[in-house]
Amino acid sequence: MSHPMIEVRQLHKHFGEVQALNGIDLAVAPGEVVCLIGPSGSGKSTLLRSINYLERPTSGDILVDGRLVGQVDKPGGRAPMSGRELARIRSNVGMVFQLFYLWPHLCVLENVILGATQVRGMKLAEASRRGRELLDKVGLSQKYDAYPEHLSGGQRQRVAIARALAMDPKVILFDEPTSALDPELVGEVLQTMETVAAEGMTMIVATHEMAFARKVSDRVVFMDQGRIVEQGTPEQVFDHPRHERLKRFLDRVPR
Amino acid sequence: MSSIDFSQALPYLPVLLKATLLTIFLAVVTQAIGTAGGLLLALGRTSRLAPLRGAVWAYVWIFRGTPVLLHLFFVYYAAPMFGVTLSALPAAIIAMSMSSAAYNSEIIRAGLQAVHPGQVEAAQAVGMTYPRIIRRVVLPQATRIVIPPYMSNFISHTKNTSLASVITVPELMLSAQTVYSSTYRAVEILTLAGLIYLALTTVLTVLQMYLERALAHERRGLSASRRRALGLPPRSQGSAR
Repeated sequence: MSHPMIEVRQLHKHFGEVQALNGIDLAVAPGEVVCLIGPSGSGKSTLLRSINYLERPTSGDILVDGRLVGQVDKPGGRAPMSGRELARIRSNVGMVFQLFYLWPHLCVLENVILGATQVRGMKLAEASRRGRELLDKVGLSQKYDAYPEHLSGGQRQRVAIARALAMDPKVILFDEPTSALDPELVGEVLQTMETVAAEGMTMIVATHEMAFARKVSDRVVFMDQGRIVEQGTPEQVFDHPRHERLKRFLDRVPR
Repeated sequence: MSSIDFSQALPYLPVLLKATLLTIFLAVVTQAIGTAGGLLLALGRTSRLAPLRGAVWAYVWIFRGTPVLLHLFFVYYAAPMFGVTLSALPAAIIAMSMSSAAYNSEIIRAGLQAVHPGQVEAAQAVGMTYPRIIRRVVLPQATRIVIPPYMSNFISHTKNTSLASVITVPELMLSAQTVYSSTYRAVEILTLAGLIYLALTTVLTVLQMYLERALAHERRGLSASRRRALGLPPRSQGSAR
């Protein structure tokens, strides 16, 4: 039996007095699509951001493809990981942000390939060819030379997905990728994510799009107050919720 | 003596222009050192290490809070106490670079901090290391933001090189004073010197306009050379925004 692609063990994160994560255990198998649902402030984002160490956990372990993230085992105990090592792990973990965070001084194609050329050392011509393929795939073949500010939110998020794909990551983390979009632009982004999922990418998606979670995910994880309250197949979670908190949450959100 | 007469002053123009070369040298060299130093200070000021932040804060506090004129005298007269005798020009270069670094560090810091932290996170998320993130993501954006205040400061700094005259650096101002003290044509000579300063700062003003335009990628579209490097076809007529 191979190890999980992502493994989170007893993860705690405190922001001062606030306990954002309260002992999370989660394992995600290669190729699995996991949707995180739950109210705002339930810890979904913090969990995702902790997985690639954009947040430093208060305690607990994170493993990506069997490798400890952010810490190294030393004879005397744990030590912080060097920036270079951490960067190497992050290069295999794609991240798509709610607010896109495309680099505004670079055109769309340059946004997609910056990581490939800077981190992977890929030749510009090769990276460019591959970047264009990815932009074609996310439906932006007319926009190679456009700058982010000239794109709609949906287009920007599709560029961000192409940027993540360009690193050939082992997993992609989506942090509420459609929450900042106008309603009519949500569909195109979800469609793109569905395509990525269908190709076998391991994905963890924090989302409020219940229809997407039901349709695309292998497993749905409901979080509340920094804990995983309930998880299971979409049918189990959406059609036969067991916990009262999940039932109340599902009653409140559009399905 | 009563009326203005440039015919008496113009023969000294070559002398003034020669001194202008030293003014340009002093301004450019100290601005360059002050920019490099200012960048390092700004990175220190935005560092996670509190002692480093504190040290940079103190440096800026002292050098921005005391007159450049005092720095010039201080370096010039204090150097022998450390066993070195500095002639006027090196003393001026040191003093003006240190002051320039203090001002530039604050300008550059404003630029660095104007780049949204999410931009840096996105770069971290693709696995870029800190030096690459600074170079490829933060600085290109910060540069654009700081051009107006940076160039304003460069212009002030260029004019401030005239202060080096007090420690006998024979730059434009001292040269002008020397000339008019022997010719008694102060108004004419000062007018010429003023026009030369104005010409220098005009060059900087034009440079600022050029830089602002050159860095406005979004408005101008992808440049032909970047386009070629990326293997994109040349932009067709009329597709420019």
